[in-house]
Amino acid sequence: MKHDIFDSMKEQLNPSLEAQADLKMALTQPVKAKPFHWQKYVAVAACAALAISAGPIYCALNPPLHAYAVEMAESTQKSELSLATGGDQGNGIDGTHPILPGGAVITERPVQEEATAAYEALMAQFSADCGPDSYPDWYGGSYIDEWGGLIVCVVGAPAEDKSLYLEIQDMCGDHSVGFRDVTYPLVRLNNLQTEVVNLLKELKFTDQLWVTGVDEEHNQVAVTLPFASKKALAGLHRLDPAGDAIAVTVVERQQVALDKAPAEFPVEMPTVQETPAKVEQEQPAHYDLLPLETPSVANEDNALAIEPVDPGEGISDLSAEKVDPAQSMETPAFSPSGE
Amino acid sequence: MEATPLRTGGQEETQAVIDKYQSMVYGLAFAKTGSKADADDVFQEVFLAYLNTRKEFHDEEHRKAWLLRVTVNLSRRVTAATSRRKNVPLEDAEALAAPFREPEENRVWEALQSLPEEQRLPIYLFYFEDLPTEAIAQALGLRPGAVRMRMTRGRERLRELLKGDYFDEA
Repeated sequence: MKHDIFDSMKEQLNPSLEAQADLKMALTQPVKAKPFHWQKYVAVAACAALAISAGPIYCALNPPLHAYAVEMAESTQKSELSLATGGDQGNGIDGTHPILPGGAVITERPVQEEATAAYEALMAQFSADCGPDSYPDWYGGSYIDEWGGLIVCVVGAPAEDKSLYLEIQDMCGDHSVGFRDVTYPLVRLNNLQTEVVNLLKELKFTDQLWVTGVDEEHNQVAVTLPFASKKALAGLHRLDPAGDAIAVTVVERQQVALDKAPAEFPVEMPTVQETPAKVEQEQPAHYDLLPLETPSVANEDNALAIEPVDPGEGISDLSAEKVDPAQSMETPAFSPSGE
Repeated sequence: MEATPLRTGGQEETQAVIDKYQSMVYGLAFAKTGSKADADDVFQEVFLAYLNTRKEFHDEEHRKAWLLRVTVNLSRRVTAATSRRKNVPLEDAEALAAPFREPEENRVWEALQSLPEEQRLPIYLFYFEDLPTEAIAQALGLRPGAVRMRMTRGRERLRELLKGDYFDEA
């Protein structure tokens, strides 16, 4: 129940007459338009533009670099690396064994024959279907695993559909093959390698040592640089933003001088002075025999007593005789005749 | 009384709004600030703000709610400014002592002023302005449940102070 007291109190709650008059006066004044602070909006727009452009400016000044691995290597001479492009069927170590994908060389081991045959059948089928040196889009390369079996890398094969695998198996004939799902087709990797080569040439890497090749086993383009060049790494990042199509290795080499034996080497290299140019022939052993003394009367108690020996008989005095080293060692040092 | 246009602007239109809501604005400002002088200041600033705003209200309740919100906000600002003053003017001291004619009214107002602000304002708006709980919640920026809880606690306190049924729950 509402009390009348509240109504009475509310009637008395009115602004003072002075306040009402002042308000009425203020209402008659022209309404001042709110000033438009354009400086504030310009500042906000400038801050927004700076914030938006900060990222691209920073990326331009500090471009993202491709990741790389560092490999330490020691060499006593300049590296004999040469430009290698994997995937070709070149000749092996002795020029007679063909090189399989992944760098494997056919040796005399019979285990790889099946893998070789399967690979050759596959390449023959590709050549027939796509033309020479061409591959289908699903082909990501192939390699021989540690057990000597051919592994075919497949791109984009649906897990529930095995028809592509069966088709590949048919291409390889009666030879068993294994499969592996990869990301990049071999065609893409070959094109990417070409782009890498062009990039390094543009960066004047021609007089430096660098290596690039398609690593089919890891489904990547392998790049080896002599040093971590920011321009090269930035360019490689542009070619491979995801960072999984190119594997970069920076090889830092230590030069070791042959005329010095570094402290870390446990084996001391011999110097020229210590190596004799000529081995002198050794002098034969020279013995001086003393004349035998006349023994005394044998003493029965002396077990060492010996019978007297005529010095004229037996061994001559060798001290008077010089041994000629030029004589053959077969010449005895003494002569029983005493001459 | 003619319906007041819902679009602000114009001296005459503003004067009509002042005539309709000046008691509500002033009373709320007085309940919040506890000072007639401060309530006068708030009263002027609220309607000057109303004059300058370009707001378009979709109904009368919308306009009323806007005025209440602005009154609460401006009262808070004025209270913060006057709290720095160390000396209370003599006129404020006299106004605080007897703002109403009847002693009973002054006792009720004094008891109401003794409540904390969070309980005082909902009770004032409910009993003096006859606002529903939802409108009070919108004016004070609270949930309706919070308004009811604060009013319950305030009523309990007032019953202890006034020993009467001034503030029943009806």
